[in-house]
Amino acid sequence: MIRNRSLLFLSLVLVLGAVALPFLTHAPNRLLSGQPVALWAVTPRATLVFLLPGVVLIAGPFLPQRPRVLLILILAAGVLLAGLVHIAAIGANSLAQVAASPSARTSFGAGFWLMTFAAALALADLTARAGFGPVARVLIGFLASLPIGAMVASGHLDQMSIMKEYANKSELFRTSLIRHFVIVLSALVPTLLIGVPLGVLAFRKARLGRAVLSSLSIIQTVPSIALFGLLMAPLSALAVAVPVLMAIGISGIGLAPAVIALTLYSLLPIVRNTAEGLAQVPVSVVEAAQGMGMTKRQVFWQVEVPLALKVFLSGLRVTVVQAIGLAAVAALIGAGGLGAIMFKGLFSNALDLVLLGALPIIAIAVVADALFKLGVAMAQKGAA
Amino acid sequence: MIEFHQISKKFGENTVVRDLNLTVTRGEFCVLIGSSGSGKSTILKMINRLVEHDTGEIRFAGEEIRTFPPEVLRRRIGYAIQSVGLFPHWTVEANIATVPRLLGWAPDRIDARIAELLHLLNLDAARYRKAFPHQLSGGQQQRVGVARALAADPDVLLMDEPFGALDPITRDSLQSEMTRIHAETGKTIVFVTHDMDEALRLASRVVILDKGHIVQAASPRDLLNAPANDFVREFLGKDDYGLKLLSVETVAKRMRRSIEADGEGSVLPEDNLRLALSRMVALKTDRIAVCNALGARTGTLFLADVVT
Repeated sequence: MIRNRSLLFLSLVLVLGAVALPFLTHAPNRLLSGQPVALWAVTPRATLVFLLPGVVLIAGPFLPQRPRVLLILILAAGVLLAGLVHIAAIGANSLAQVAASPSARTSFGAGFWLMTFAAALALADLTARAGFGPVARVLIGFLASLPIGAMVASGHLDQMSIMKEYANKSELFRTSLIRHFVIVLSALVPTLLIGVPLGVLAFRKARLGRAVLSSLSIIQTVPSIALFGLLMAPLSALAVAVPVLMAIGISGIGLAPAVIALTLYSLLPIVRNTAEGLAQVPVSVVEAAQGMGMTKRQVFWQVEVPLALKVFLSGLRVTVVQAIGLAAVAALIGAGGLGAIMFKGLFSNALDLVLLGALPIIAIAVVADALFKLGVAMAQKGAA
Repeated sequence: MIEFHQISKKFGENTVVRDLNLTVTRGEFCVLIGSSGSGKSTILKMINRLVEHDTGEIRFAGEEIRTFPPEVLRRRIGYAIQSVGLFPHWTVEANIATVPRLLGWAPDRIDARIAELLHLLNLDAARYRKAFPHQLSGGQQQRVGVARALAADPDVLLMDEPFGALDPITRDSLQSEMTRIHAETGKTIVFVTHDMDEALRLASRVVILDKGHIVQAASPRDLLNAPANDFVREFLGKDDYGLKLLSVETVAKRMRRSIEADGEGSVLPEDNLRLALSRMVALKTDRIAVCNALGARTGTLFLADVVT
């Protein structure tokens, strides 16, 4: 009797990852391709006890999906996530002792990624099924990531190749991380300053709104690398023509074109959701507000803005998550950021360096997404 | 209180109000009635300038309404609409406090006023003060809507089909409340509806509108006794015209002082004849006792006197 089809599928993925794919890869140094290490080959074997929650998950689809069962399954998925990372760390530590060479590298294998992916999806699916609200779901996600964060911070993972890359490049990583935030935030400021008034205008003047939205949609379809490239020529020409601009650091490459391109991409969701948010405020409520004797400004700030906030925040969420991802590509035109580490790894064929750039980008995007969902939920509560 | 002088209004090429003259006196319960497109809502919204008139003059408390800034005018005029239009992000008390807050009342005065209004509208303060509109039934929402319209003790109350979306039982109880509130507060009320029974029940004067002009303006009784033309007769209904006639007459007008009826049923002197007739039919009797509110017999109502 199958009671949860999606969990059944994820369990199969979990088993497939455990049996058919290498859990770790081990290489004498970072340039050689690694030898696969199966999950069963990880020593000491006792560590595999951390796979037990996986057994619980595999049993999950056949259990009645009662709240208490779901809670146990959620717990199992959370523990399994941390357990997988822990097994990898222990495995890497014992491999390091055997190899006894500081240049030996142990990386996460395809099996690890597949199993982690399945466990994370199971966690998300089960929390949704258990009917938790957005606040509780964010909290569960936070709790599940806490042990992994602790393992990274405590040095437990230091024998993993990605952490070795980090140790070699910690200074670069720190500056790149800050740079990444700088790029995203510097794009966000002009986006809000231009996008919000434009959205209000688009709402009030329908014809203008359509024109604005369709031009922004066209920009959205331009591939990001092409847009970065397109901006290089005019900006460098501008910088040459106006020395003041060059003096404050504007040129064809670097931060300026990155911020401009990100702003252009970010405008669409902001303008669209600002206009849509205002449009879905019930006409009767606005008419009542006017009829009560509110001034235009009072109607806008006390009625239209609070009621549009939820839709606006979902637009801002899309914008921010999109900008965090797109900022990675901006490294190609010399803007720096975590994308720079990623491309460095890509061009030197060092997969763990790619991960060192990519994983934090994913993490930041996921955290930003969760925070905005929390914000939307709170705005909804206020406007409910 | 409100005077319309030769008012006309066009929306594009479409004339919706034509040379309208109408005076609503202080304390009147004036019901504007007509089919859709008769201009009744437009006329109502011209009073608080949600719709601006094209030609003519509208006076509010003796002054042309355009001498007031629209916000000042609107804060002196209560406004309740069919879809209620409560602010969904505000609690019941915040909704009711809207106009007093705009007028800058002191918090404790607003607080006292909210309590008073919840009581007036039969809403349990402890339960509903902090509730949000979506937690209320349609009828409760409209009660809050009426309380909000009355909040700043306005000179005039405008109501645009306020009970149109409610079920018959809720509508019936809110209509009784409006009659009571009108009697208790003595407010001037301008009320728009398309329901003739509602108009006859509430109005001290019914204004029948067709294509933007007044067909007849009269008290419910005069309207029923002397309809101006076929349009009005049509509007009053054919089949239940007689019942409508009975609904605007009280038992006191037709009863006899002799005490003859026995049996269980009785009516109050201030009940309408329609109700009395219904009760007599139900009891299968041709006479019914009339008792006052204290239960003392004051007379008898005969079927023969009802129908003549």
